[in-house]
Amino acid sequence: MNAPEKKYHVEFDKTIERYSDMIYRIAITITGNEEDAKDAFQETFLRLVRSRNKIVSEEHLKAWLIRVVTNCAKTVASSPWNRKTQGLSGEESTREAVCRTGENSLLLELQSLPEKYSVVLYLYYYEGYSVKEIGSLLGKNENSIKTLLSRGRSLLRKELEGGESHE
Amino acid sequence: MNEWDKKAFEDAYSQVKAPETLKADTLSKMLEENNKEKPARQVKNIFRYGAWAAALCAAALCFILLRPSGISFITPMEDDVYYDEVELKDGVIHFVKNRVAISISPNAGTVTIGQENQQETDENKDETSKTAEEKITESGGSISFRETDALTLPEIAEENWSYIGEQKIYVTVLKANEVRYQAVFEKDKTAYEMIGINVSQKEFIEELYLRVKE
Repeated sequence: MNAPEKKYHVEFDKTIERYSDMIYRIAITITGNEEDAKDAFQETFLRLVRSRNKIVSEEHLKAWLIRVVTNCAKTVASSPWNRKTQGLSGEESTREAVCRTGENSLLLELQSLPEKYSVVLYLYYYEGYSVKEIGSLLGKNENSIKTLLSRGRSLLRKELEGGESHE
Repeated sequence: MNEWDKKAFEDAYSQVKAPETLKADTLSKMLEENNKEKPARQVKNIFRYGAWAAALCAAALCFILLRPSGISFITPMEDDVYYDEVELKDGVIHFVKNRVAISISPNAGTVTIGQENQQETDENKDETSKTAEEKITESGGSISFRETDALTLPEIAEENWSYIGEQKIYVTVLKANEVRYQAVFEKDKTAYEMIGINVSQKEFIEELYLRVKE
């Protein structure tokens, strides 16, 4: 490996180490499926290679990654292939995949929520972003984020308390 | 933020981690992608910067070729002095930054310096002149420069004097069959005369500027 390749190797490795868990968590929250989450994860980092010259700071990089993984995961989750195969493997495969990452009722219920709620809840409660920051990350206004947070929270509560399904 | 909610999320997500095999696989794919990207990026850069360079060259060429005669062309004179192309407007040569202001009096007649007179022979001229230098300019004319101890500067109204910096100079131009510029000035108790025959104004003023500043 020559010097420039070594430099890229170190740079990419550092970025993966720093953000891999966050990217994977968002991907699995949206797709609810380990294989799709892996696809979205890889696609996000490959896009980073192509667009890294446009990224100006560490903060920008984090925000960029969140936005891109959200889009990639949504694309993967809504692909025609996924829609066709869902009927065959369906709910079970999602649950199995999540179980592999550890049995956790909150995570399971979060994954069963529509992605618009789960991502906002994740960014707010786990990543610690403010309503304003989430708004700018996802390209929505603050009021929309507040509404999503409020509805997402009540849906999640209902699910956790064994209430009716949102679907 | 509800503390319970926050803790529940932390507990839930702390268990979710990207598999090591996925990370390693992604890293190798990123390096692969980077190698693919490099030549494409280089070609893109060549096109991008090449286009800019070509556009700039074309604009510069257009400016040089199609420049209207009224637009000034900046010529470097000294390290920190730049001036417009020498241009006679109502007998006054205009320079940028007001560093030099020269007033040429057209057909005002020549000024006699020193003791010499019209009948003086060439030999006598050499005696009165300490040095006399002559050079041929690019336009094919000639400029001569000489100095003398004796000085009789003409009685001229203040507005007809020219200045290069603080140096007072008298400049005239005689437009006959041959165009004859004459500049006289006194510096450190020495009188100087510079005569340009069939030279351009620009050549004459440049030479005069250098002589005054030296």
